Amino acid sequence: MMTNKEKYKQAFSVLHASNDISMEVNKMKKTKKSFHIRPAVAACIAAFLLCGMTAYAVDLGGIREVVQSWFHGKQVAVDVTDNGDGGYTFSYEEDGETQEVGGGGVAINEDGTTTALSAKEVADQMAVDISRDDDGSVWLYYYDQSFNITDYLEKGICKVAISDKGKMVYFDIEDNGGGGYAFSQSKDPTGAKEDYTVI
Amino acid sequence: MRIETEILMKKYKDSLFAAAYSVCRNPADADDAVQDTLIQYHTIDKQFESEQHIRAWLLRVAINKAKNITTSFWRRQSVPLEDYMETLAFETAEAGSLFEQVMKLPEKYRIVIHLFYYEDYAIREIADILHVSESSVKVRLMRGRKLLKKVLKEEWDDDDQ
Repeated sequence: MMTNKEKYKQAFSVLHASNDISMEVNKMKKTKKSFHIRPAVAACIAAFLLCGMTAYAVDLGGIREVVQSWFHGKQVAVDVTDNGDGGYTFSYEEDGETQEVGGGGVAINEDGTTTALSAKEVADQMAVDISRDDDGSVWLYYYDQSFNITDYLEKGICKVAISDKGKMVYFDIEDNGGGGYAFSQSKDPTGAKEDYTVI
Repeated sequence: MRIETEILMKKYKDSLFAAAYSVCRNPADADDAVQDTLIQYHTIDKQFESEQHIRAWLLRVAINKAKNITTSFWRRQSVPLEDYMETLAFETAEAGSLFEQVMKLPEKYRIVIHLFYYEDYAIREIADILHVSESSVKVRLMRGRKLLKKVLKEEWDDDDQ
């Protein structure tokens, strides 16, 4: 006969933190100089993970504007509604269908204060993405570039580097165990440069 | 004393996540709370008396961050409990039922119940972590147990009364 504590522990033992956390904390430890930037970026990405996968109805009563951004390697005009609470609703056309996502974010300043990101800054966060196609292939999207990284993934992990206007951008990518991929990008490799495959 | 952040992360991230989730009931928000907590530990210039002191501090910070998230605008995109539960592999139907009923408790009961039953903290320790009086903890624990007993019936014993 189990005690209440044993029952409770059994029930709640199914809860596990995301692998993204390990990546973010490890990344922070390795690149302390960029520490003040990472939480802000993480906050932005987290915001999109929260709502980016599900279209939802919104009250389009806020201030609207149109910005140019990149989604899945294609430049699109994004209809942005400022929801007035620091968040935005983004609406754009993809494959003939209207997609709607929400998000927002803050930049953490050197003194620890935060500044709300503009709609353009938030939209630009979506220009870099990793997703799995219906055929199982995994793609890294970086603004106007698309890379099939399926073969570089080993046990759901890979380190790749790409060239952006002559400068290298390094990616640490890891399967997040939830059907998506966690990643961090940096101008500097988090370990040995040789560990990265240039694609 | 200090312990390497990476060691703490491996050891406590799941329990911090469970505590944060018990507050905000949203896995993505709970992940944010855990990450922010570990980053805060890594950057804060603070010495601790023992590992238990660190553990209690981490839990307190994670709980507070989860509470803060519930009042921010991110909260709008909450994941329905039923949807999230479908992604969890409960060992038994009773375990799933207990999880669901705990999550339906008011927040102030949930977190006290969690710290008592999952983290094995005593009432006085829970009061320290939550910065509330021992009598408040006792009342919340008692009311939480009563509510659980009411819905879970024979699946929830009276052995902790």
